[in-house]
Amino acid sequence: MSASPAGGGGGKQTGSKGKGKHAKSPRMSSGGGAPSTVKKDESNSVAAKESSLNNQPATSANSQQNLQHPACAASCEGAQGGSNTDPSKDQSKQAKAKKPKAEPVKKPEGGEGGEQKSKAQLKAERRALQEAQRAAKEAKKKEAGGGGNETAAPPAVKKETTAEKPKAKAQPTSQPAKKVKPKEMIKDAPKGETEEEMWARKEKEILAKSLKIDNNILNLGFQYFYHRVVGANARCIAMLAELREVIGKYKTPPEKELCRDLEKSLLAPCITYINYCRPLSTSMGNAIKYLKYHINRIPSDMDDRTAIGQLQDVIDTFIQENILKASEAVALYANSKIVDGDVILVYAASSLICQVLKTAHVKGKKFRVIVVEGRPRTEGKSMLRFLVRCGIPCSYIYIGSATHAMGEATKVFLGAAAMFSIGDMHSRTGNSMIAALAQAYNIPVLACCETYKFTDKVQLHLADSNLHARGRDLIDPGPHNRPSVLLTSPEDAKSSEGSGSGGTASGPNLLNLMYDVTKSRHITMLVTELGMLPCTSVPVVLRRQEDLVAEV
Amino acid sequence: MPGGEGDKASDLKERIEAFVYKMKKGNLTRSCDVAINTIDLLIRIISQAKFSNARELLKHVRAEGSYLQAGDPSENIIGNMIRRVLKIIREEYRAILSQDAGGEATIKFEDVSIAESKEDDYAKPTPNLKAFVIEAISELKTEIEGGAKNIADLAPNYINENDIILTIGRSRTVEAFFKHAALKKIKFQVLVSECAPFFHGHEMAKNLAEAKINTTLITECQIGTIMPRVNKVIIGTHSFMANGGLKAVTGTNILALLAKEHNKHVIVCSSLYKLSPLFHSTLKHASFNKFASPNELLDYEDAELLSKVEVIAPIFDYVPPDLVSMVVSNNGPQSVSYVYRLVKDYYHPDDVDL
Repeated sequence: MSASPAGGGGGKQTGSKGKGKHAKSPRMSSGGGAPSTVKKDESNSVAAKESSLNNQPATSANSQQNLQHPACAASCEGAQGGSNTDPSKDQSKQAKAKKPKAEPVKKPEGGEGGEQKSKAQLKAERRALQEAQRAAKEAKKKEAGGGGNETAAPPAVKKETTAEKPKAKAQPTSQPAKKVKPKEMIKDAPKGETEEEMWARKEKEILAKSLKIDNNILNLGFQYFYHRVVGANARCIAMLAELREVIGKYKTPPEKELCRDLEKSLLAPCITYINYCRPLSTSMGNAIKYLKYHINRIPSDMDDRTAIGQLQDVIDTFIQENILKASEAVALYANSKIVDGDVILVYAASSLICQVLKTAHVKGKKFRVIVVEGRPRTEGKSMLRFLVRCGIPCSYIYIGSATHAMGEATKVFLGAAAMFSIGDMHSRTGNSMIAALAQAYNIPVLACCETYKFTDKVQLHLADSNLHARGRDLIDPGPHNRPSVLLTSPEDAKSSEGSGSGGTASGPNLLNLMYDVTKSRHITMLVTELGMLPCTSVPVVLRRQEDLVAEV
Repeated sequence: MPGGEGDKASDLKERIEAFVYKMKKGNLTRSCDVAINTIDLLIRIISQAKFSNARELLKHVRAEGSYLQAGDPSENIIGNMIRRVLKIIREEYRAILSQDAGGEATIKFEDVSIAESKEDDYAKPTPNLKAFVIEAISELKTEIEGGAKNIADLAPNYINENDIILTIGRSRTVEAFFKHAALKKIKFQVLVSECAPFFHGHEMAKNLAEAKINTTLITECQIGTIMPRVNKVIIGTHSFMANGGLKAVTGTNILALLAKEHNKHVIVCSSLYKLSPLFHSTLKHASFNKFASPNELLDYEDAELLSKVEVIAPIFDYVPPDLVSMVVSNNGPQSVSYVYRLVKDYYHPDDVDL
């Protein structure tokens, strides 16, 4: 808490940049953030930020920055305040848990109310909500009636979860196997469960699980689940900020040591929950690793207050040094490669690339940007908006037509979600295509990545599970509400999709992968805060990081 | 009688105007429809034309053809059809002449020779020409109509059991190709790229799924991700150039490039009426590409962006011939490098410039 003005404030700033930017895109497509902000009068942090971005069309970059700053700081506090006021009237945990439940579920409703597609989804959501509320009520009754409330109350809910949980668990573990068998990968439907059913079940389970999780984490989980917070940096900062809060509330139970109990009883369930809402990104994984390392180093005789203060400092330093300062450094290094007259091609959105381009523009460099867009997330649009507000001349093109832009582009900048130790880049799906295309046109590809996203893991080809994004997004009506032919009527589409995966009735399967892997040979250069490196230097950097940690 | 002819002439004029209007508006999207409509018009034009020899007829058809083509300069099919008809007129003329002469030596020589023939001025009177020409054009029409089916019949040769096939957008020829393979009880899987911002792929995926083919819809940005798992790429094309390069729906270039990157075969299903004797000079060649409205990508309501951003929404991609493995045509499979020879077969060198 003590160090928050410097570290936390800064964190929020960039976080909001990332968050607002990314999170905005679905909202933009669904026609304005106003209704949604009305719904969330409890001032969900992201919602407030979005509205601050949407409703105040800041023309110049600086004013935007200024606007963001207080707005998001306030909203962050607001969110914290909101969750703090809740406990004040906390009579039963279930009642408390219900509130945030109802709130985020309504979000899409507010945003996409007028659209065809949402009807089916809404139904599912409402059903899920009702069920969860019923479960909560039941639990409440039992609690009121019996003495063993903590253990006796949840079973009604818990059985559901445990019954379905193994299935859910089986999916992530079966991913590697899927790599070998493309058919399975594409079908996405293990054990007769269609993808849509899986998502509906997940939504339910998130609600059911939430009874025991801290409110802050709960909010965060929902924001991840509904893609309100997107982007490696934004997700990582959001998570660290919430964990910082949660750790602040921690008290070591008697007869236990903080360094052991904190991780086991507080951190682990939170992280499991977050991971369940949406698989952790590498950036988040590394941050957690870092945090755990520091928790373990706390001497067992230190008192709670000092230890927690120390941990919060650790989090602040991580945000400050590894994320914010690092991205500034990356921007500086990358700038040395931008010259007057450049035509820079970027794909989708990346907070880091935004910063790079903005810094270059502020320094007075004359260049043009081509923003390449990928469906269905259309994150490029938020990138485009950011750049236009900065005053940078932009072009906008879909990825299918990217070849037309390649003729004039002189450099390609790509943002990474992670770098694997063999030098491959893990990033939003589509980046590998752009890199391959650029190479075919002999255009240098500069990948920008902070070193905290480096990982010693390696994934080949298909990077990720289908647990990130829904296939249904593919047939969402586009920005101009032109409904897909696959979406004749919501019910019809739903049923056809349900059986489509089984291959019985009409309706194709939908595949929506969120990440892909770019081969290191397609990347000319990697720009990090340590300077410009070849991709093959990733293990060197990892090694150095290990050494540094060992020294500390 | 004169009144009736006047009616006919005005009727023809109306039809021509309607066709040009349709082309300008972009109402005719199927290349097969464009071809058939053009041929129908040409048949009418020829049947109403008054001429004393083949040269006059050629001149007449060429003049009317240029007018048709002007409706949409980027639509190669119209030009192709006109050139095919011109070639038919030339052939029929020579056939009549050689029949009259009683020998066929000149024709054979003409077919083999690449050099342009200069001795022919098509000025000799040939009374039966019109009937022969119209008959030959009708044959051409039948050939075009049956093209997709002929190609589909070849499907079992190229689709194997358990194949994973990637395609993009919607092509009737490819759709028929897949459906025929499915009829032959071949189990395979199709991945359809949706072809944003036009989303023809959704329609394709729907139709294939209805035909009980295991179909998965993907976005363009996932092509790179799934390419390693794909066995082959089968696409349609709008038309193809004299060098074997394709003029196809946008996204095809990047698709073909990635297929090459992963060493996958790119098979193009196309009837030969799509073969154009023209070369593709540059991407921005006026008669090559068309651009869609920016509204396809950005909402007009989004004035902040739209007023400041250059939105590029090309409709076609040029795919260089080295990215294409083969063309499956209604005359069987063709090598891309052999396409130039087909051009010589189908079009007369004098007709390349209309």
